[in-house]
Amino acid sequence: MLLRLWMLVLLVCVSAFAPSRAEARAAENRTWVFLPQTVETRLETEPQVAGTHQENGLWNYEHAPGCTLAAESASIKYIGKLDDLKGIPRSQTLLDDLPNLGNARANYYQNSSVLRKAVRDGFEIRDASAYRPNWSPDPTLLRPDRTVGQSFLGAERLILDNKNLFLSPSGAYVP
Amino acid sequence: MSQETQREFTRLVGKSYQQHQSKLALAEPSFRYDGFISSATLSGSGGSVEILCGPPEYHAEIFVTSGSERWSLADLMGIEAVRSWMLKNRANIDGRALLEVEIDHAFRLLVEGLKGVADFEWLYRSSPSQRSQ
Repeated sequence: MLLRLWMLVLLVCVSAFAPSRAEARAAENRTWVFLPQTVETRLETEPQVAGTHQENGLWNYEHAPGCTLAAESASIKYIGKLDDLKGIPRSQTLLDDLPNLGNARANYYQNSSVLRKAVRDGFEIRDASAYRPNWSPDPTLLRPDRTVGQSFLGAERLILDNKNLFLSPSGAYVP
Repeated sequence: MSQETQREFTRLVGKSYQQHQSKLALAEPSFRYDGFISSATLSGSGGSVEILCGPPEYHAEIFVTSGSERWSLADLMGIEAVRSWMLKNRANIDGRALLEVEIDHAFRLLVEGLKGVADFEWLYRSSPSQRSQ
């Protein structure tokens, strides 16, 4: 009887301290927040091109060929003006998730939602148009006096800002 | 919707090109589709004109490459004459679709707005009197 009671107490203790599956998933998504920042040697405005990056000593370990490349491209998403996204691998952009819904409002909500999902899914967000501040001109044929801040990119930056993610010198949005 | 956008983009660029063909020294547009991005390139003797339409905004964007320099609309508006033309000649929407208005206005910019700018002289057909000289 005493043994049974002891087992019961032990079981209660273990279940109280073990993290739930939801907590474990949340922690997994948050993991990148706690990763140490690597010393960035590239220019701030230079787009991140997929590579092994073994020059960054911290990550200097052996991988199967192509492994790092796949892992990196899978974890980064770039935002930016269409023209600035040209040299970036398509898989590292959100472009393929953004079909034309037919009007500006619907496209705006779709864009916001896709970016929020990328953040939620734990992607590192980078800005291919980081060299263009919000106040810089971004005219369209219909709105010749528009600025970057008034474009979809400005809205994306605002979303990241509201999530307390800020553009770091490395070009990534970090908390 | 996106294939519809591609078709509409192709139709509108083709239509505007036909309309202004006599004034512009540009070859027929060649089209490229890359996922949701549509682009039209019109080549001339001194460079080319690229009109782009793609996510997330699906605006028509214009780029003019003259020699080795590529000009976006923002760059073009850095030229005072072009800037004042753009601000004076606002596009008239008139109940038309935005893409149609934008492509129409892009061609108006080429025909009228860039006229007189030395960098873009190659865009224009010389008049018969100039040709005979």
